[in-house]
Amino acid sequence: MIEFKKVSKRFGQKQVLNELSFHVQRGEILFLLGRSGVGKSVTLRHLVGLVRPDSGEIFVDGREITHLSESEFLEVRRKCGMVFQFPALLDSLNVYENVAFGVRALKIRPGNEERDWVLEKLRLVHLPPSVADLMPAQLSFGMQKKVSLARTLAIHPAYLLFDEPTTSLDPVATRVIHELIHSLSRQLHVTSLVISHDMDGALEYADRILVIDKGQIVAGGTPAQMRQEKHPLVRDFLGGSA
Amino acid sequence: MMAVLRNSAWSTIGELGKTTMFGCEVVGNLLRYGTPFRGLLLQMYVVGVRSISTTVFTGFFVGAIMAIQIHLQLRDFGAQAFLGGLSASVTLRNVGPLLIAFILSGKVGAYTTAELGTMQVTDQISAIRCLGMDPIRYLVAPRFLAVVVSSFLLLVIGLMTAIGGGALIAALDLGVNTLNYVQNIPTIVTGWSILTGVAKSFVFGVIIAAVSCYRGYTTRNGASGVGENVKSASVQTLVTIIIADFALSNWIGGLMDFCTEVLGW
Amino acid sequence: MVTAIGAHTLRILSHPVEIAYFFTQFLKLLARQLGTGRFRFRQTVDQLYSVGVESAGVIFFSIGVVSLILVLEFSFHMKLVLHQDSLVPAFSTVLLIRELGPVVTALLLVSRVGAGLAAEIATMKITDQIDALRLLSIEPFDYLVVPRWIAVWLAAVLLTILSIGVAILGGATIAAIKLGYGFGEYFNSMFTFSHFSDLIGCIIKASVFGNLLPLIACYHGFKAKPGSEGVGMAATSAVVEGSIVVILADFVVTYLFYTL
Repeated sequence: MIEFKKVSKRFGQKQVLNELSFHVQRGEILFLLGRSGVGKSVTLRHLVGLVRPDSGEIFVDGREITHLSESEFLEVRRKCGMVFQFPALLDSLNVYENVAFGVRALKIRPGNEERDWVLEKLRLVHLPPSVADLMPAQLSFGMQKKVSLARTLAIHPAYLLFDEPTTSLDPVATRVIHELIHSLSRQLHVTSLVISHDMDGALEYADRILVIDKGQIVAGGTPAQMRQEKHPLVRDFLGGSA
Repeated sequence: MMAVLRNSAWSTIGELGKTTMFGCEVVGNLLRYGTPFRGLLLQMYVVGVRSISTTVFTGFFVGAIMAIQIHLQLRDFGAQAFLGGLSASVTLRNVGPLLIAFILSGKVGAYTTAELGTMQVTDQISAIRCLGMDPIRYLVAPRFLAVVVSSFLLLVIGLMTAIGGGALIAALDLGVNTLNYVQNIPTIVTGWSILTGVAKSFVFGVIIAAVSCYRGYTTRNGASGVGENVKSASVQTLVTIIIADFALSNWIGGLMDFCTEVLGW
Repeated sequence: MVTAIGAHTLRILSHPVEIAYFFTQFLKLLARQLGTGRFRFRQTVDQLYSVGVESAGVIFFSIGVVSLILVLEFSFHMKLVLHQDSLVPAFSTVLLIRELGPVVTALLLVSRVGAGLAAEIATMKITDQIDALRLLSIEPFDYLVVPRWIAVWLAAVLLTILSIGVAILGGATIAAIKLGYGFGEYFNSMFTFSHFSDLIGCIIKASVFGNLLPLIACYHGFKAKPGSEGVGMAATSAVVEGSIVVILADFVVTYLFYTL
């Protein structure tokens, strides 16, 4: 389980997170919704140690992580796999090398098992082995996103963190990615935390939805509960006008 | 106005400090973990080989320019015979390393800043961290070392080309026989001068590496941030090189005096 | 392998042609703009201010240190050859006026202004602002390039002259402190070896550099490819080419001015 306890973070003049508190249950698919720029990405980045909070506590499986050193964070990063909004594939390495990167760095699998492991991860995201030799620049944006996901899956994390996985994708690709997130979470028994502003996607695929505004959670519940929610921001989201 | 100057002076000193600390961190990393040789060679190829033609080209012209200028000044004395030695000496000790390093700070330095900066801004560096690898060790250290070694070698090549350029223009246009030119060189160019040139080449290489890697690695703010940092890296490199040039000239000069007077070398 | 070299050479050669084309486009538009008499005065002044004032500190400081370096160098050499260093300050100042003043100033400007300009225009290009300008019937060259070109040209000349002034004063001070010169002696010896024509040469050099640098920077800005990669490459190319062109132009002007 992941727990945020009164986490605050300010960048310059802007108070991005304001005593943010929420938790994520093991095995669930949680969608974190909010308008652009309210600090959703920043929330995720706290979990992998790219950002440290000004105050508050964060627990991952019972361990408090806000004061860990960079090397101590390796363990947390093995548990929390981050899929970035822009694929962030290393452009000097081909697809295979990209996916294998974390496997080697974190010693997930011994050398002789690596190849099978990598190809299996590609298969899980519906990519054929033939893409393994391609360079990121030769792939479409959607395919890059899939490779990015395969790369994160390869480190065998317990929690998958998705930073706006479907933003700037067309409706067909959006559905494909959402389906993938859903099926993988169930299949691999991982917990998924998805940042998005796609309310429709959330309603369809989430176990639970939380809405962030002004650095705090303003509403939350199951999709059924959210449909009845009275909070004006949520109603805006439901109406598709936020 | 004074406040602006004072603030920018403070922030410059601050930046210099941060860059030095970053440089030390990278060097420490290199000493502790080393770096794969093949990766290093690849980086040196990308950074160095591409710049050979530019260095030779620029070095040649810098040498030629200095020869013309020195010739002008010697003419007032009727001391043209000294052209070879003086021109080679000044080029080797000072103007050569300075101007060629300026060019390299663009070709090699700005390139590295832009490369690392783009990677930072597209989250590749964050991804490396999340996948369990130290970006300094994996990305920055090999580039740093490659830039230091390549810059040094390129500067030395540039200096040699500069002397050649001076000789050529002297023969073609300034009416100084190439043989005289070359023969005059050892009379003025001492081992100390060569040492100065070589030492400066090394130090300038380190400066280019440290500043460009630091600025690239700490880029923020998306695409425009990359441009910003290329600009500030270039300026910072040039100013630091000038200061280092002065410092080195002073120290080596002092060292030389010390050796001659005290040790009798 | 041969085809690769051939293709590479072609690319290098086509580059000057492209830039030359850019220059001619620019000159055409400049002529047209002067013809219509409309002149973006306010913008030029803004640009002049930002380029000039922001770069002044760095340039003065750097030229100051360079003049100190020259004094050290000439002192060393003159002691070696002439066994006396009385003429050092004068000589070093002369070299500064003829050569290092304009060149070092120009190279600093290439970094500061060239990279900045290229990055600015490149960012505008990838965020579609340039196309937006065209749709508003504002010719980008006219609006963006011309004011900056004039501003950088003026700034280059002014900064070079001012920095040389600073350097001369610095040289005089060093001479007073280290060699026991009076200011009068210093300036006398300086004038024995330099002529008014040197100042002209210096201004010509600064003008040539100040002219070419913004055009190269804008050229690369306009040509930027998309993404942050494109902006980085534009800035880098502007700095690299700008520096090389400064050295090349320096050689040409020095050769033409001083050997003919």
